[in-house]
Amino acid sequence: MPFKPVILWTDALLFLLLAAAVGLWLHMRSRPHLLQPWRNLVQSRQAMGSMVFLAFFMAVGLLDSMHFRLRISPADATQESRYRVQTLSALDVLVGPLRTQTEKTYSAPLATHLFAKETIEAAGDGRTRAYPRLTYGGAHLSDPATEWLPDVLRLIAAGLGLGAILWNALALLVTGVLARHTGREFGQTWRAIWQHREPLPWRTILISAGFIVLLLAPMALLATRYHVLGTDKVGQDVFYLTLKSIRTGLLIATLATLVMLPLATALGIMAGYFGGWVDDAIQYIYTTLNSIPGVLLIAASVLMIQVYMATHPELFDTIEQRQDLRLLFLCLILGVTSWTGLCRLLRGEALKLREQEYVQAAHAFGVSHSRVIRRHILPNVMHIIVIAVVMDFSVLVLAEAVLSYVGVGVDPTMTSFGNMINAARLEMAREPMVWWSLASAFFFMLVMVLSANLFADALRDAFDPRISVASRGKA
Amino acid sequence: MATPLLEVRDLQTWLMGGDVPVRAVDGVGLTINHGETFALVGESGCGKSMTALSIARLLPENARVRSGTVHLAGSELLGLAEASMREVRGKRIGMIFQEPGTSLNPVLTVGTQIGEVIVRHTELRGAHVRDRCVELLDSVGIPDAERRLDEFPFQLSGGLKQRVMIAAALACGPELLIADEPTTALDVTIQAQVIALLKELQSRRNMSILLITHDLAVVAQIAHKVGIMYAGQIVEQASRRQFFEYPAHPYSRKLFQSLPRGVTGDASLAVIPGNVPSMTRVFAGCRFAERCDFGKSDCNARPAPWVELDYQHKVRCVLYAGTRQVADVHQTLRARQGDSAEPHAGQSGDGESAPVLQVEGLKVHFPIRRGLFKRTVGAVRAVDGVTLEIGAGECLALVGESGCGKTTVGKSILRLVLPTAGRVLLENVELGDLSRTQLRARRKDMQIVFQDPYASLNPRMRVAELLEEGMAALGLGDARWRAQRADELLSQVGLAAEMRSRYPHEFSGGQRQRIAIARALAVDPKLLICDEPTSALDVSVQAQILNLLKSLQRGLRLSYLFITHDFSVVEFLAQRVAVMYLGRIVESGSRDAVLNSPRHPYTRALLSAVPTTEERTQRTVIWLKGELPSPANPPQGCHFHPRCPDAGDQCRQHYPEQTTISGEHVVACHLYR
Amino acid sequence: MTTYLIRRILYAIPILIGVNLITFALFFFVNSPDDMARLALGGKRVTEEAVEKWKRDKGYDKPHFFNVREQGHARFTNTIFFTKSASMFVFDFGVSDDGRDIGTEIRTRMWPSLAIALPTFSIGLAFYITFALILAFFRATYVDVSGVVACVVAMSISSLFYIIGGQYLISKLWHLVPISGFDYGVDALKFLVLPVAIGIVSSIGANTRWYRTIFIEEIGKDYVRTARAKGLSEARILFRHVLHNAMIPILTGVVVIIPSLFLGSLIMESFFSIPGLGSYTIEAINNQDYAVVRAMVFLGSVLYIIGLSLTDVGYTLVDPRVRLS
Repeated sequence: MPFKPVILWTDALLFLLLAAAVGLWLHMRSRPHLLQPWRNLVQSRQAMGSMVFLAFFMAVGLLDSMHFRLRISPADATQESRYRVQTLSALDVLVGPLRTQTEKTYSAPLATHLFAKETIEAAGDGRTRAYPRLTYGGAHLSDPATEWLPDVLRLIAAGLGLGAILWNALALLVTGVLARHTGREFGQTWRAIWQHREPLPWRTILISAGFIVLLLAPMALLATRYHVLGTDKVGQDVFYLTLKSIRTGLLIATLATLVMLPLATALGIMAGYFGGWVDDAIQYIYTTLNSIPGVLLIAASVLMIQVYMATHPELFDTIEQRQDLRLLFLCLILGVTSWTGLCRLLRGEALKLREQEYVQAAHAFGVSHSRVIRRHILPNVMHIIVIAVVMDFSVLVLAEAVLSYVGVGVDPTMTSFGNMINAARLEMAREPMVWWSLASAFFFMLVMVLSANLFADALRDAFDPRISVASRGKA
Repeated sequence: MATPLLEVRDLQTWLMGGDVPVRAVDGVGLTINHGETFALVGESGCGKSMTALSIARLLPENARVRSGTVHLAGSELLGLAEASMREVRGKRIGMIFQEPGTSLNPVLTVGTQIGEVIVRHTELRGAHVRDRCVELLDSVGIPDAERRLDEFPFQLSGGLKQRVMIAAALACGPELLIADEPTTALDVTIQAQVIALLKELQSRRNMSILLITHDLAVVAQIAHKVGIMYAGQIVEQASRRQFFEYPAHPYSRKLFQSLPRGVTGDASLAVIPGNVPSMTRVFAGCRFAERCDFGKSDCNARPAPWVELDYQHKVRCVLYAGTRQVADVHQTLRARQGDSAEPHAGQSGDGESAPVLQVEGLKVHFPIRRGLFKRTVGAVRAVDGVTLEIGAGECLALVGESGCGKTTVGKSILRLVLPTAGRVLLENVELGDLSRTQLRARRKDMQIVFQDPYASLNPRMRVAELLEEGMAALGLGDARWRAQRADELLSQVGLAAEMRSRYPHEFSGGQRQRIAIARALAVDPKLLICDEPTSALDVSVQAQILNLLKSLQRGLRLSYLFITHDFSVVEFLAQRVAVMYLGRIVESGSRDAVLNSPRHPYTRALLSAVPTTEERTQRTVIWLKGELPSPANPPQGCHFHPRCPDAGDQCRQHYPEQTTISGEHVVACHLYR
Repeated sequence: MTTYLIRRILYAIPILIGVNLITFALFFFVNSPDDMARLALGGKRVTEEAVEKWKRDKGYDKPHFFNVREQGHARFTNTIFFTKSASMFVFDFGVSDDGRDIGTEIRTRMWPSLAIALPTFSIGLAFYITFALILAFFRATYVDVSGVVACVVAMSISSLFYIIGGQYLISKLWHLVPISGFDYGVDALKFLVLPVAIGIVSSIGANTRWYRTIFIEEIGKDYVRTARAKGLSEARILFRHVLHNAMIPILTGVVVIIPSLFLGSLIMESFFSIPGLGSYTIEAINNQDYAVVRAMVFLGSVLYIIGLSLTDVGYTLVDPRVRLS
């Protein structure tokens, strides 16, 4: 094999989560009442529009989670295969040059020269202080002063053209599949999509996809010749860093939830359902945990993990593994500090459900507690769990940035939005300002969190029982 | 004749928001004269509340008045600017609502809530406002008005809250009072008080009332004119007298026939087949046609015409077109329908047999904890020494007002609530002595049907799963047998077997209650505890369920403990009756003995307060003072003495012993020592 | 009321003991004092003596819970748990790594923290409630819809960007106020304006939206319909009826954090170089000064529990059902 797959802890958990999601969907497929709120959800323009953006982020995150080590080409065939120490991800391979083409230090977006003056050996009159040319960015231009603008414009135009072609292909594909599926004519389907007469909001989906394609295609073309979003202090491409940050944010947002979910669900339902001393004990646990200010508890835990990891270097072989372990611990800690809210919600709901007549009826049959919880309580609090998970997503992405700033976030060597902002902030005082790392992190984070928030909103509307009660309502 | 006070014409109100608008009110017209009470009667979902809200322009945000006019003393209301409409509300139109508990602001005092209407619409300020509030509270019969002004709603009982609502509605002497189900949430005795109050206030102030209700008995007592509403339209209008003597519309007649009162023995109640049509539909013909026994072919095609039968009596039905002789039509109707219900075959076996259930000295006390260490300082005596017995195939009705502990009796028999003391014997086996496993095995013999069909079925389970759950939990049969049994059960309660894979939300209230009954029957119980199984249902649906329960009792020789507050249901279903007051049974005996010659003053008061649809002739309502005291702190002596019209010294000191009047008719009252 | 307060205090004790045990476990069980000493002294090539000396200096050279070498009650008192954790119950926090008394430090540093946090909290609350009321008043119109959209966008931006953007615009570009720093007395004002303003703006989205939801929910209740039936104006209904009822859920989330205002905000204070408890904590975290972090954790939970009790007192103020029963 030319490569050896490496499954980091967080990768494994992410794939597990994915498998769980698929499993859940298969389970629900035959249960129309479970599917109903989802059906409302996919018919909401807001949900599907934001979902397209989230899907883009998830795709990047998943690609970046497929890790492997390349084989060092052996000297002779008999030799045992050896692999490089460096762990790469599918994303790294995909964007190849972005990763390897590092400059010396800062350079502005699309620049051809470094951001800092250096002493250069000039051909004629000895040394001058000037902005040296970049090694990779715009290296193909012989005279940047005149060729730069036409070249960039040409690439953008080509990118837009490519984007338009891709997008049209996508739109035609969707229409074609849809037309075959419903047995209508192609033109008819096309009009139905654009007049928003389809049950699914295809128009919104296509427009959102259009945004992404038309933005990414020019960027991709430009990235082959330039550093689209500039380079950072050590000359790394900011666009590459931004893409890498997506996985970190995504993992924190999903894995922390994964950690807290079983804990919050089990304890919350038990507290509400059994009451009595079980309730007292669980309430004591969560009041105690809740009483410690979240940031401080996280800080204290992370500090201790730091010490632990520093004194136990045998736990990991590579930098990636160290980063990964710390990320995992951070998710664990975030999970432990954030389960109390959901736990309290579920406790309240279980307390109400316990008194419901259908639960009483089950007791009248002598149905066991575990069965009552499984069949009567859990399905009826599911919507709360789903809403909480999605609502937490954006909160956690934002929390990562703050924690990294405080110094208790992910490993300082790991690429994340928080570390990017943190690094850029240190250069705030510089004149003129180094704004591009900050701007990239700002833009990508905003799009990610905003889509997550909009999606969460739409999801809450689709799942909130209060609204469905109102629609049942009385005339 | 002078202009009527309120004139509504062709009112249409739609509820938006769904894919298709709901035509909640679809062309309603009515007229109310000065000093007149107009009762708008209909079952839930017929649009009567929406009509009232449209008139006052208090519709929820998703509702729109599509067309029509509303004139109050000649001036149009629907076209008024919102600011001018506010001048009308509270001043010229007062409103009271169904739930006095939620309709008052919980954080403001009674005085503030009444006072703000006065300040809004009159020149009175300061101490004058307060004086006026005291006056108002006095006039609605709230004792100790001065003190009550500074109290908050939660400190008042349900009846007092509704009186406060009435006081606030009447604060500025409105010409029209809109009362939306004002007594539905109240107990029978309180209901009687409120109706009497409304009646008295109306005649004193020469005010008009638009009364929205589903209860024909309330109509009988207070209305001058009646409008029957069905599916967004008024189908019949008449004076009270005309209406109760000659209900003309087939729907009106069915409503009367489905009332359980006066139907005893083996007769069953008349039912209206089918369900209320969906209001998202556009109707071409008569809306009742498909459920009507007399539907003609063209009923579905053309809208039914208004036919004037008599002075002020008109009906929207094609049967009356061409004739003005109501009596003639009635003759034919009666002939074709066989009018009152057909007698049932078979005789209920009332033979002396071993009792299925014996309850002796049952007590359920809930501790009250207070203070630093949450010590138990007292107890809510929800059930305080109840003894009763039910034979095989017998129905015992346990009757009482809300809060008297009747539901707790049911739950503690099933051990859903653990009794504090007393014995419960099911077929001579003491349930308290059984281990968990033994008890589980016995659960097969006793089951329960709850009040609210919406809360008693898990919305996340299919009908088949619901029905099979109990069988599976008790280990009855294998999966195939259980599936087969589920189908049998469905047909037994009158549902189709195809419905097995549907979810509860696809069913109407009555169908849900059938499913709940089927679920209880799944394990072949000997005793069924029915906890107000029909009180959340409309009259016509109630009739279906009562018929079902009666036929099941006969067919399966089921015993019922029928918990209810409604004496008319008791008459139809029960063989024996026990009346409960504040955790204890005050009178029990055979149905005829208790209902026809009640002895305990409480039973007598309850029976006299039950509103009836007959014009009242000799019976006088026995007024009960005040309301049910708290079971945490029951009065000394006889629990009932503070409210009892006949209380003597002895009653204040000792709780009375049981006295046997005749046979099994037993009463706990000093009057019969 | 007195019994109630006593019960509250009694209830707080087991929670504080729990907090104490959690922090103790976190700081002394996950890593042994030896581990910490090695890390603090740098690298692995540290002599045993240096480690022992470090532990002795810090007072970590004792058993965790039980000292067999001591006599009488010293067997319990001369332990890490007693000297480091139990002592916190009497607010004896010990000394930090740089040798200063943590208690004194907290007493001087809490005032700058409060100077930022209190106005941010109170002015912010007034702002959010006002905005939310405006949105609720115009509910289901385009004012409301665009307001909610603005809220969602605002809450999707990391608070770090609000600070960076604010500092850049106001201080660096427009030179309106100093970029950071602190002074005591009237001079403090020019240093306080920016952090307070940014503090308010950065959480405007989430809070306004939350309060709006509460108001909208209250507006849907029956008593509002009754109030309309009385002919009251929309404004009176909103202020007199809805606001008062909405205060009950609002209080639940708000009052509990009031005591914690003393702790200040970690990020604000460190960005603006305010010598408060927030920046103190951050410095401690960055310097790995465990004694300070432990002290702040404990202080934080004490303040939280005080906040819980205050919430209950707050209920009695706004909810007559609690006050009178």
